[in-house]
Amino acid sequence: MILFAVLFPLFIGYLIICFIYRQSISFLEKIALGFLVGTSFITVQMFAYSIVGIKFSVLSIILPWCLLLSLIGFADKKVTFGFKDYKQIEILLVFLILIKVLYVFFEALIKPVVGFDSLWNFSLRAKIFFFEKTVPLFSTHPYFLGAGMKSYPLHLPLLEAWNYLSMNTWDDVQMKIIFPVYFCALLIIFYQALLREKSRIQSLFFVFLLSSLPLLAYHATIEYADFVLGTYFLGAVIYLYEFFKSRDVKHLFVSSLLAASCGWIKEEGLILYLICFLVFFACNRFKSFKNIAVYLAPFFVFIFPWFVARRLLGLEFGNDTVFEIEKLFYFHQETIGKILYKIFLTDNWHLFPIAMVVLLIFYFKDIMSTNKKYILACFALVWGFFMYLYLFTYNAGMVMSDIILSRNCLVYFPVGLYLIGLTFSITREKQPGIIDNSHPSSKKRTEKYAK
Amino acid sequence: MLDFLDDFFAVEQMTARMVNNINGVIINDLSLNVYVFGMIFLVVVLWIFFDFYKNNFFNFKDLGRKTLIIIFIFWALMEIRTSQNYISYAENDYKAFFGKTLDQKRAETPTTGLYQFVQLIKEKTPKGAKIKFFSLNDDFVKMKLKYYLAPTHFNQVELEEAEYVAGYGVNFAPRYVLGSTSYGWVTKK
Repeated sequence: MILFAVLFPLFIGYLIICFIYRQSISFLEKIALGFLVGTSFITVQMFAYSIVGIKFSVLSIILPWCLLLSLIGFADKKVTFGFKDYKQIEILLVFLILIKVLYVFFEALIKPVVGFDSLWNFSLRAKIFFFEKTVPLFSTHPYFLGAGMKSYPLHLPLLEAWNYLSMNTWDDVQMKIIFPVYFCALLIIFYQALLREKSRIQSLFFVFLLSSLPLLAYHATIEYADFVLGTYFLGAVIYLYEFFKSRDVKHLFVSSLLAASCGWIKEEGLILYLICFLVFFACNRFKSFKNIAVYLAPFFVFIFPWFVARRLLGLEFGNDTVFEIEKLFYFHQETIGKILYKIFLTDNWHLFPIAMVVLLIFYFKDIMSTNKKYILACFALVWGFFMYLYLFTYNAGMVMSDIILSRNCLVYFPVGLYLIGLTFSITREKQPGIIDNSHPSSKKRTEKYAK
Repeated sequence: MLDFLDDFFAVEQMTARMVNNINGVIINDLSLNVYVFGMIFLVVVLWIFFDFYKNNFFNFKDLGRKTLIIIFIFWALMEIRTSQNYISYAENDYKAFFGKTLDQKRAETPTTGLYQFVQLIKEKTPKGAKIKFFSLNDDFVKMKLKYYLAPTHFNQVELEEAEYVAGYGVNFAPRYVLGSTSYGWVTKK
C-alpha cells in the first residue's frame, strides 16, 4: 500500500499536467511534475478537510479526484523507453546516476526517522494527524496543530500522514519513500529542462553532477524539508524561464503552482514565491493582467489559507520574534568567515561554489544578454535574502552554531547548477570577425595570406 | 605519505550533525578543497602557457570554458572518492537494520535504550494514563519520548496528579517498580 501512497498523488498530478501540456512535454517530465503537483494538491485537500471537519480516510481523500478521470483522454497513448541509440559514455552516466538513486532509496528505506527537526517539525505532527484523522485546530486540544513546531506549514506532515493512512499503520520507515521519489523528480525535471537546449550527453553529465552533491544526496534520505523545498523552487525557476523563452502561459501557470507550493512547505517558501513573482513582474509589469492573475491564483490556494489560519489561531510568524527591528538590522561581521568556509572549504557541494564563481566571472555578459538572466536573478535574490539573514539578523547565531547555512543552500544551489548547465558548452564557440589561430588549418590560412 | 593516504581515505563518520554539514576529507588540518583549488589553478596556468607556446590567440571566455572543464573533472574525481563513504554508510546501515522488524529498527536509533523504555511504558500503563516522567535534561530525549508515546501514552502531568511515574536515564528509582529496563523504570504511584 505504500506504492499506492506514491502512485495516487502522482497519477492525479500526471492527469493535471497532461491536461495543461497535452503532448508538448515528455512522459517522464509529466510524471516528475505530476508527483510535485499531485502531492501539493493532496495536502491542501487534507488541510481543507480539517477546516470543514471531514475526517481523513483514504476513501474520503481519493473520492473527489475521481472527477479527474475525465482527463484520462489527455494521457499519453504510447510511451517508449530505450537506450538503443545511446553512446557508451551516456550509458555510463545513466548507470552512475541510477547507482546514486538506488543508494538514496536504500538509505531512506532501511531505517526510521531519526533527525531532531524531522521529528519535531514534521514526523511527530504527521503521527498525530494520522491518529486523530485530522489536523487539530483548537488550541485547547493537547496536540494542537500536531504539537511540535506548530507554526510550520503543513505540506510535509500531511503528506507523511497520507502515507500512514494508505498503509493504515504508523510505519516511519516505509513512509520515507517520498523523499527518494522527490529526488528522482528533481533529477528528471533538471534533465528534461537541460535537454531542451543542450545535448543528451551534456544534460546527463550535469544530472550526474547534481546527483553527486553530497549534502543533497544525504538530505534525500532523511525527512527534512529543505531539499523538498529546493526541488519545488528549481521547478518554479525552470518553468518561469521556459515562459520567458516561449511566452506560453502554461509554463507560467506551472511555475506559479510550484512556487506557491514552496510557501506551503516551509516559511521561507513564501519569500521564494515572492522572488519568482518579482522576477516575473520585472519582465511582465502591467502588460498582461491575465498573466498576473495566472501567477497569483495558486497563491490563494497554497499560501493564503495557511497564513490566514495561522493568524486566526494566534501563531507568530517565524521561529522567534522576527519583527523586532533591533534584531533585523545589526551587522554580524563574524559570520563572513564562517559563511566562506562552509561554502568553499567543506564537502557539502564538491566544487559547485567555485564553478559558480568561475561562471559569473567569465560568462556574466553572456548570461545577461539572454533570458538566462532571469535564472540568475532568481538565484541572486535568494542568495541575497539568505545573506541578509546571516549578516544582519539574529540568525547569525544559528550560522555560527552550524545550524542553517548549508541547509539553506539546498534551496537554491540546484538552480545555480542548472544555470551552469545551460550556459556551459564543452566545445569552443566561434567568434565572428576573429581569426582563430588556435586551429591548425586557420593558422595556415593566415600565414598564406600574410605572404 | 602514508599519513596523507590515511587522511585521504578516512571515512567521515555519519553523525546527526551531518544534516547541517559534511566536512569532507581533511589532510594536515586543511580541507581537501584547498589542495584541489591549488591543482585546478596549476592546471589552468599550464594550459594557458601551453596555448601561448602554440601561439594560440588568447580568448577570455575560452579560458572560462577550460577552467570549468578542469573543475568538472576534479568534481567527478571527488565524487569517486566520496563513493567510498557511501559504501561504508550502506554497509553499516545494512548490518544495523536489514532484516529487523520495525520495533527492532527503532530500538537501533539514538538514544540508547529509549525505545525499550517506550515499549515498557506502553506495556505497563493503559492508554491515556496520567504519567509523571523523569528523564535526562535533554531536549532530544524529551522530544523522542513524545514522538514514540503520543498520542496514546503521553498524558504528561505533574507528580500530584499522576497515576504512574516513569524514569529514563535518571540515577534514582523507587523500591517497587511495575517494570524496568537497563535505562528506565515505571511504577504505579
